[in-house]
Amino acid sequence: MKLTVPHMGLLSVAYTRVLRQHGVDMQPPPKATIKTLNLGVKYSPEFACLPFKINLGNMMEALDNGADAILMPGGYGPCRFGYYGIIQEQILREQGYKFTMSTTDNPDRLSDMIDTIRDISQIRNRYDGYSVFFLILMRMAALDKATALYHYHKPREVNRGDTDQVLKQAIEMIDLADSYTKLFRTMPEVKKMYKAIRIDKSFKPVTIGVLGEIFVVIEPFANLEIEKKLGELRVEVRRGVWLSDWLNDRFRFRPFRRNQTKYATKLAKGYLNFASGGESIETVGKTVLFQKKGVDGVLHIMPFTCMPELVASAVINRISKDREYPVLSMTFDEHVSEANIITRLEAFVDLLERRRNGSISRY
Amino acid sequence: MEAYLGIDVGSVTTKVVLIDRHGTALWSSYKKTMGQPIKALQSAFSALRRGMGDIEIRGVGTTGSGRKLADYIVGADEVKNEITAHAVSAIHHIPNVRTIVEIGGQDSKLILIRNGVVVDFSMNTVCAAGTGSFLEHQAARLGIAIEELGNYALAASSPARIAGRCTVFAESDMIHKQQMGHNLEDIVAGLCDALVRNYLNNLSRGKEISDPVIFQGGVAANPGIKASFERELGKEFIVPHYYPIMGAIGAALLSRNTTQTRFRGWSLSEKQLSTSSFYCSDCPNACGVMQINDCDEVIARWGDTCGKWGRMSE
Repeated sequence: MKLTVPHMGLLSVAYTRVLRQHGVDMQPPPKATIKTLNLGVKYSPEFACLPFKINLGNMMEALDNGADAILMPGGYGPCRFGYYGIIQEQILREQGYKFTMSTTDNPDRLSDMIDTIRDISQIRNRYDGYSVFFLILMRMAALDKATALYHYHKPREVNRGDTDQVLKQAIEMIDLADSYTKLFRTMPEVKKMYKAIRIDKSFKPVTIGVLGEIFVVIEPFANLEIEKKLGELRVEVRRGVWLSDWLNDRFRFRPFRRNQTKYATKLAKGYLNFASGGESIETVGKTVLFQKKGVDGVLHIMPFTCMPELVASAVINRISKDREYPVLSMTFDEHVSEANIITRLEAFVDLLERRRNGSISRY
Repeated sequence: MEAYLGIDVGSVTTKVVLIDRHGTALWSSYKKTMGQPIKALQSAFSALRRGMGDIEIRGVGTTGSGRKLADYIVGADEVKNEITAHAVSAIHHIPNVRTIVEIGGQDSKLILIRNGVVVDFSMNTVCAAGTGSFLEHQAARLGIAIEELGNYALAASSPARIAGRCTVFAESDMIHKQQMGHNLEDIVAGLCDALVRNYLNNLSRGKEISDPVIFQGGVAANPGIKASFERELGKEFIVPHYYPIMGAIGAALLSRNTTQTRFRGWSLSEKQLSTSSFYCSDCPNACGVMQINDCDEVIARWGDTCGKWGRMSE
C-alpha cells in the first residue's frame, strides 16, 4: 500500500519521515504547481473552494505517481470540508482511478487519531502510537516556529533573499530531526541560523495581521506567496492562524500555550457570539486582539465561495468601522489576478505607513 | 530647467507628464497604448523632446498596471501603485478632498481620504463592468464617437433602465431596449446610469462617500457619467482640470524626494526595443517569462515564480 495525504501547508513535512520509519509506505503528492491546480479545477464542481480543487489535484498527481491509498481528514468538519473526502473519492472513481480511501471520522479526538496511525502503520502498541503522534505534533510546532521567525526577519533583512534561504534550510533540518532528542537539539540550531542573518535592527516595519481560512493562510501556493510578498514590501507579518495552534487546541501538547479558539471566542464577544464555522470566530476574535495589541492593520484572506469567512468578513468590517481600524479582505481562487492583488497590497501598505506617520508630510 | 517626469502606463492609455518642483504641469501627453506600451512611451518621449527642448530630469515616477515595464525601460526612482498615485495627486490639487472616484480603462477605484491620509479604498477585482473599455465598446457599436457619448446622455429625456450587473447582459439588454423603440439618447443615458449603479454596488458597499468628491480617470471626460453620479448620490462631483493624467502627476510628485535619479536618459526614443516571451519548461508551473530586448541584448526579464530568470538578467 502506497499512502498519500493531500498537502496542507508544511504538515506533510511533519509526518512523512516519521511515519515512513514505522513502516508506512508514504507517497506524498508532488509540491502543488499550476498543473496541480489545472487538474483540480478541471474535475471539481465550479463552486467548490480553492482548497478542494488543490486537494483533488494533489490526489490525482499522487495516484499518477503510483500511490494506491488516500487518507483524507473528514468527519463533521468545520465547514463543507467535512464532506470533501467523500466527493473527491467519487470524482476519482469516475475517472477510473483504483485506490482505497479512508477518511478520519473524528479528527478532533485523540483516540481516533491514534487508531488511524495504528491502522496505517506497523505500530501495534497504543503507547507507541501516542509517542509517534506527539512527535509529529512537536515537529509541526517546530515548523511553525521557524515560519514565525521568518516573518520577523524577512522585512528587516539587509541582503534580499537571505531569510528565504534560511527558512528553506530550517525546514530541511526539522525534517531530518526524526526523534524527540534530535528535535530538541535542532531548534537552537535553527534559531542560531536566523540570528546570523544580517538585519536592520533600527527599522520598525509596518505590521499586518494575516487572518482567514486556514488552508489559504498557511499554503503559499494558494495565496500567491502573500507572506513573502508582504515581507518584500518590508512588512512584518503577524499570522493569526497556525496549524500547530489548531492541533494544540485539540490535543494539548503545548501546556503553556493557551487554547486559541477559546481565547478568540472570548475576544469576539459582542461581535460574533457563536462559532459560525471555519475559522470565522478566530478571524473576528483575533482582529479585535490585533487592534488592541497595536498591529497596524489586518489582511483577511479566504477562498472564493467560503461561507464562514464571508460571515467573518462582514463582521470585521463592523469592527473596522467601530474602531477605525484598517482591514482588507481578499478572496482567492483559480481566476485571481496577481496584478490586482499586488496593487491592492501595495496600496494597503502605503495606507498603513501614512496612517502611522499621521500626515502627508512625505509628499 | 529642472523637472520631474511622471509616467502612467494604463491598460488603454499611456500618460506622460512633466512637472516642476512645485507640482505644476509643464507638459503632458495622453495617448492610446494600442497594446504596445513601449512604442507609446517612445513616441511620447520624442514628442516631449521636440516640445520642451533641453530639460534636466531630477526624478522619475511610474504608475499604472505597466509601472514595472516602464521602470525597466526608463529607469524610475519611484514605482507606485495607482491607488497611492491618484491619492497623492488629488490631495495636491484639492487638499481637503475626502473621496476620490477614479474610473479608468480596465479598472475603477474608490479612495477615501481623511485629513490628507488614505484611510480606505476599494478596487474592482475580476469584473470590468462599468469601466472605460466597456463604454468605448458600446459607443463603437452605436456608431458614436466616445467623446460624444456624454452629450448624448445629457440630451436624454427619460433614461432607459439597463441591467448593468455584467457587460454581457448589459449589451443584450441595450439591444433589447433599442428594438423596443427607445431612442439613442435614452439608451446612452441608461447606460451611464447602469455603470454608476454597478460602481456603487461593487465598490462603495456602505463606504461613506462624503464631500468634496473628486472624479478622475479617463471616464471623467464623460459628462453623462458625472451627471448620473450626481443624481444618484445628490453630491457634487468635481472633475479636476488634469483628470486623465492625475495618476501620472501623482507619480511625478512622489519622485520629488529623489536625490540621485536612475533615469536612463532620452536615448530611449531612438533605441530598438522589443519584448518577447517564452514558457519556462523547468517545472510544471510553466511560468510565462517576459523579456525586453535592446537589439540582441536582454535588458530585463520577469514573470517567473522562482526568480531564476529575473536574477540572470540582473
